Amino acid sequence: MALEKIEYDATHCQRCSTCKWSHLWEVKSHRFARNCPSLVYGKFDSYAAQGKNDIATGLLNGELSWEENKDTLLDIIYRCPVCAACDVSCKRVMDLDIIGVLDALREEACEKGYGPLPAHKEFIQSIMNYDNVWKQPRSRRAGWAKKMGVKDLSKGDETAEVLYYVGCTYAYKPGMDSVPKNTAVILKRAGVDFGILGAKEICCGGIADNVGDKKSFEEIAKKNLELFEKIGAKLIVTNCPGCFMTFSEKYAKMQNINTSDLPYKVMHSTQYIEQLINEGKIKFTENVDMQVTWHDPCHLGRRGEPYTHWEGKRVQFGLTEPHREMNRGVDGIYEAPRNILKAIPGLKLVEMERIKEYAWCCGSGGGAKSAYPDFALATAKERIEEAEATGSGTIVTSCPWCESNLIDGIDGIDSNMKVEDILDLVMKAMGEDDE
Amino acid sequence: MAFTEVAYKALKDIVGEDNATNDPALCQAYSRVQWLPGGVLQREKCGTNMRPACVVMPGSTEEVQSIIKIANRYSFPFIPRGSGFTFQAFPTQDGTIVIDPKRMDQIIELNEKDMYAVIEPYVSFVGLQAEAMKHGLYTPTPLAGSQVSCLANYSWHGAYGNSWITGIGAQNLLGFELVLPDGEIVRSGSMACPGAGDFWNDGPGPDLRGFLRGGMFGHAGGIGMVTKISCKLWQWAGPEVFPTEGNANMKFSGSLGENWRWFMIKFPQYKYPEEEKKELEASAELFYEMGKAQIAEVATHLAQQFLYTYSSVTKKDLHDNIKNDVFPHSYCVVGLHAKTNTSQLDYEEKVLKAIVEKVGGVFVEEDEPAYQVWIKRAANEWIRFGNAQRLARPSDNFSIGSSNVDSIDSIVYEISESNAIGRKALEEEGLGKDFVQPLSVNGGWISPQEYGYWCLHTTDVFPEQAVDQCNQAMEIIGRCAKSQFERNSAAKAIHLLGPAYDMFGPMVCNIHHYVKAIKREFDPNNVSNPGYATTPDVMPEEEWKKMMGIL
Repeated sequence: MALEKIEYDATHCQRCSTCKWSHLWEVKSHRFARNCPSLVYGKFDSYAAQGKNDIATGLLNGELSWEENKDTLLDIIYRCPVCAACDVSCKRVMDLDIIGVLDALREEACEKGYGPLPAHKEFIQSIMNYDNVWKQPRSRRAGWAKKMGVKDLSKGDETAEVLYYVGCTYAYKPGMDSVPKNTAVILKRAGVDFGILGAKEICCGGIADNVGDKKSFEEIAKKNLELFEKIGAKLIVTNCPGCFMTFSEKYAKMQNINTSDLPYKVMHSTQYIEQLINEGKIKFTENVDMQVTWHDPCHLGRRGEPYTHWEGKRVQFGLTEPHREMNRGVDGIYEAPRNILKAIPGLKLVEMERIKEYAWCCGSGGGAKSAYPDFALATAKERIEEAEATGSGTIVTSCPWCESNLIDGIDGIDSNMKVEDILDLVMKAMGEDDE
Repeated sequence: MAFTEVAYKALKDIVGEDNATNDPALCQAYSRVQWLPGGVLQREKCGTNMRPACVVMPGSTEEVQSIIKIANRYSFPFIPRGSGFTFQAFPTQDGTIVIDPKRMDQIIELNEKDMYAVIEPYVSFVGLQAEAMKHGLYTPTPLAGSQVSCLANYSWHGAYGNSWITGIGAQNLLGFELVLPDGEIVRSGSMACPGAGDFWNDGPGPDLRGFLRGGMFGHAGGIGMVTKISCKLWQWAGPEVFPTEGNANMKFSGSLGENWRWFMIKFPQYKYPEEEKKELEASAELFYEMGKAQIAEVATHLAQQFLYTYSSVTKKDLHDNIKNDVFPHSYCVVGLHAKTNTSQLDYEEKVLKAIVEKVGGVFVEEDEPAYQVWIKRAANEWIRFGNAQRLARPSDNFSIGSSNVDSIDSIVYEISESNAIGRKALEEEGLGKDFVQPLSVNGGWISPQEYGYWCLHTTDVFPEQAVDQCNQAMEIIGRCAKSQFERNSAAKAIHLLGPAYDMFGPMVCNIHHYVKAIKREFDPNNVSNPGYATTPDVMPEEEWKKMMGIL
């Protein structure tokens, strides 16, 4: 039973409600003080981390049963982007593995045969059939790279220092292929020796793990790990925070090793580009006169921390033996994108109230967008209103899911706000912009 | 009659389909008390399933009124709650409904000139304080944490980090709107006179604050539901945005600006814990002198248990700090806040230095571990309490061992007495040997109120969530209370709620008869949080013992 692993954490929640708010020292207004999209939308406490601890406790001690409460339990468990804002807030005061509880509830739902939800199954089945979540033919995966002269490492006749992993959404979703194209241009301008996996690139599988389908996830992960080994990947660069987190944290966790012990290193494109700027390989020559605000993708920030493997037990006073260094959301990728934006001449970055480890989620993650589009949209609208309050006209981010969901949110509230991928601005500053 | 489908439909008609639920999985989150040994024992021994029959979310006072009228019509109990961080906000009877106020979360008015705010039940301290700071004002900060409901905290009791000037919650309550247990609406203070401005508690309407509070003898949601309050705001000369440095893992007290200075004071001449009482008496003298001089914004005395817990970054960090003896004894903490100009600050610092010298104290130097850990990490908690629940961090459970409201002198006596009881029980009987020690016997938060005019204290114990340890905690708590009663000590302000009224009422001027009479008069159907603040009738000993988990 997945829940048994987190029994201590669930049953020792003090229901203090700290999980429902941004870190209290960071709160700058009543309007933007809350941190939990699931609770704001669902209203009842069961949607908060505190309530999910109660749900887990109730399932463990028999007060609740899956059989009698399946539909509501699934709604509570899955109408949540697993953004980890609750986890960060809680860990300020207690040492409880809240993300562990949320993950265990999903895993348990799958073990019982109730989860994941039909919308999630569709994604997972698509990965199994097509190696991507969008039911698209493999042959189209590298369509964006035509005539760009990018190495295809999967053929085995070429090698490269960097494996550029594109990801399903950037590869297939209409209108998103500008991101891999921009990446290729930037890397080439910087003189980076890189290649892609072309039609052989396989979805990272993060979505399967996010929704609790561990079996499917492991199957997909093993294929990718074999592929990485086959081409001798040492450095993987990706634009997608979901893929970044999956390769860095989830693949390590699955193998019971630390992220630092993986045979490859993973960098998000913002980290890599920041490095290229620092090395003088990318130079910004053009002014980009605009005021923007940066949206932290959860999978890059709070959930983008490296994994530290731990096997042990709770001992006296709830201490762990051996000592467990818990992720607390602080070692995610927060500065790299900001440093890039700050380096762009003429560009002014104005921060929203909830940023970095306290950032409000866009609402798309954890399978929420596919299973609960209304919830995802409402959560995005909240972020757009927060961005509007900065006086900026543009939200910059670097995640296909955030970008897509924020754009949907803008459409839904008739806002003039725009969403741009950070690489669009990098291209402008490099003088590579076509427009 | 009980809660029926017909009653449920009536509630949904009031608040709308989406704002009421009887779904067990949704009600589960309102079902348990995870903290305090009493809560653990109640759950373990009584086996009570405390899941409410329904949770309902009104959006207005009128909807609250309608809900309460339905409760009277169908005779089912209702419990209003704020953030839910109290044990009396949970059902004790089948068929109880919980009124969750999340939809009532508006700051209705923030009046900069007259320094007050009018708020609804789900406005948190942090939300109100953040808004007030933009206007050069702020709120007290509750030891329950700034995440809790401002209205609930003020309406019940409220103990604050800056009580030195603000007093307890009751002193900050200017007016309120209350839906009585029978559904009638009453308004108190100037809130009772439309257009008068909600700035004054004594009138021109009636002052009914005593209806809600009274030290620790609060109404506990047992006399209807407060739907709106007007509360006092205090002058704030710090930055408009609460200053913060560091990340979520290691957050440092940021600079509160040129108008604020922190000091930590110790009395190293007294050996700890052997000469604890002398140290406490010296601290009392410090507070009396500061009160006479009317200086400072924060003045408090913190024993090891508070110093270690509130400054902890992780559980391991906390236990390592205990091992490393970072806080070898108790300390006084003083915050000076210049509301006019920095000359005031210079003056107050000069006065403080003279007083500290007079009472034999020593300022803790910046390079001492105690200063580095407390002032750098936790001092600003006394302005905005971001990490209140760290009190549970030592063992993931805690309980107030003793608590009292009286003069500073009496409080000093109570703390040394409570700690002595705990130490004796530990040494002679091994009671509490599995608690986090020495934290559980080195207790004492002295919170002088309103320039030391009166005072509040708590000492805490840190058992794990195990029945045996919780029983031991209850035994120690009982001995402390018994000692207070036997000495006829002051207000004996143990949280007299629920069955505790019947247990201790006879020892406290039969106060339970008074509270029960109010309950009978205003809640004739006993539907408003039955059992809290107390039952309408005197409970047989066997019954209250069962409710308290003693049997």
